[in-house]
Amino acid sequence: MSVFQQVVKLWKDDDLLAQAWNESFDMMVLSNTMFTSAVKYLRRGESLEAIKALKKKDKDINQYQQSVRKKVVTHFSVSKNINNLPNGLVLLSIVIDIERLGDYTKNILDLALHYPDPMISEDFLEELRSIEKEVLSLFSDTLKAVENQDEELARSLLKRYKKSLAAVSDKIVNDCISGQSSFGDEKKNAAVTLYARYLKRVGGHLKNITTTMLNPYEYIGYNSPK
Amino acid sequence: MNKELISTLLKATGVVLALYLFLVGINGMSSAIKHMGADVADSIFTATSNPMVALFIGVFSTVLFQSSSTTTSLIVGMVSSGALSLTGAVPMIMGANIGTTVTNTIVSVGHINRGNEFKRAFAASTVHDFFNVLAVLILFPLEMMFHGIQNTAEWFATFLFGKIHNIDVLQAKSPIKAAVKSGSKFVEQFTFDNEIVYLVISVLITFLMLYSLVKLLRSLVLAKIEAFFDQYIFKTIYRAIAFGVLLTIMVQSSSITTSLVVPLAGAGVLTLRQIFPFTLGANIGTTVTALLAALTGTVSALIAAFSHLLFNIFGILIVYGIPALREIPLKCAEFISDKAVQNKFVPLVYLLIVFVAIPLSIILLGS
Repeated sequence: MSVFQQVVKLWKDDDLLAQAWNESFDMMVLSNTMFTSAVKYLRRGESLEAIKALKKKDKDINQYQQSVRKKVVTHFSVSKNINNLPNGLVLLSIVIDIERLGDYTKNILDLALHYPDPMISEDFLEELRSIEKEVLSLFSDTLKAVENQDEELARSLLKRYKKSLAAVSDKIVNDCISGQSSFGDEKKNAAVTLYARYLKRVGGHLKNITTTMLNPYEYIGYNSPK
Repeated sequence: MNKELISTLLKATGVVLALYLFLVGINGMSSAIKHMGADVADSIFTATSNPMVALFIGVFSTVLFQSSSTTTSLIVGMVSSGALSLTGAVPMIMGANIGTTVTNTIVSVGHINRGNEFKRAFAASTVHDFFNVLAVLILFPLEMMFHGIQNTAEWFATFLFGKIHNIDVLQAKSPIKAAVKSGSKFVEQFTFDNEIVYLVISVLITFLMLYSLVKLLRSLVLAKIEAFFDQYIFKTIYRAIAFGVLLTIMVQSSSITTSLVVPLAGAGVLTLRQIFPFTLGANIGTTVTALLAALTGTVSALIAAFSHLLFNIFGILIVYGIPALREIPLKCAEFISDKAVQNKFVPLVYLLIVFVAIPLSIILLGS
């Protein structure tokens, strides 16, 4: 592309905040792809190379976050328009959550790397399988809600998070710690505890992202006052 | 038509109107000084006869206006009226270049409570100060001895117009000239035949219209240039200089373009070395306002405006072109920003000494 074409393209482009929003969505799609693959790798067992290759994709997530931050700060420095400041702050909050999703996906991949066998959740506990399925479903539904700015779907996601994920995950972890659940050896206990907690954290960050569609800025990640 | 298009069209019309009234103001100021007679011209000549005093009048008036474009446009108007000689105008123009850097330095002080962020922002703003001071330290004595900038500008004007004395840039039949003159005549009707009132109104119109022009252009341009800041401008030195020039021409204010990058430097998005060539481009871009102001004046006024452009080009060629000299503003900016982080009074003392105490002392002592 010639310099002139580049200049014309930049002149016609959306403003940086709009570009940053688009990038945050791409970042979330990538994060979803990574998470879905990580769960598959954990369930069926995967080669060291494949796991390491997927872990490396987290760098792309980090680069997205850096690019979004740069675009937001440049937008506000250059335009001096603070009318859409909440918009920019919400976006920065969202990309922090997406980056954390990448981190927990890496943790799940570490589990796949170090747990000696395929880790099939239903072989341990039916509840573990249920929260695994719920998080996979929450992830794709959160993407849909964000893409379409669907507030109804967002509200239903928040209810599902509380009822079908957080409480169940806490029960699994507490039962493992208290000894009420035991899977024969320490590594199995540790793997189940960690996996249940990682799934809850992934769901938690998806919840934070969902609240950005419904709550005032100060209540992002929290329950909005009635 | 959608709202955005209507808004853009209205703003574009506003730009044309503000530019027209700006030229009316300059022309009116020039006419008012001419009408005031020889005494006023003599007093301006006397006040600026000492080049050192003229230099610091340029610094101080630009600090007051927070705009070198305003100062240089007023200088051009005074040269056009014959009240200010080119020998007095050139040092004042050099001083305006120093004075204009005060705005972005003040902007950087807004970051003072955040250590490293302030250090980066203060360095990014003061590098412009140190460059302009160094350029003046080198070119001012040379100009006083050899008049190189003035002679080059005069040579160029002679090349364009054949002669340089007692002729106007635009011919009397020119529609722009006629429109500006009739505008000035219209304003004169409201001055009760008092030259001082005419002068004050004309200066006010010039100042307000330049302010409006900058505001309108800024709102038209800035939303569109965000993407350039993100991807394009700072990739190479030449792009940074070129966009510094273009952006400053587009918004008609170097203070705005150089102040834009200060928060980006503070946030660490841009480095000091990336910002430096951009601010030099802004130095060149800002000279266009005075060139515009000279359009309806005399060729002498155009020479004054052209001297501003030449001074900045020579400054960049010498200071930025010689690697050892290029490092001086960078090192000075890094040094003072280090000190400013250690002691928060340093920026305040620096601003007061460089932009107020020294100029005022020299102006008072000299006069």
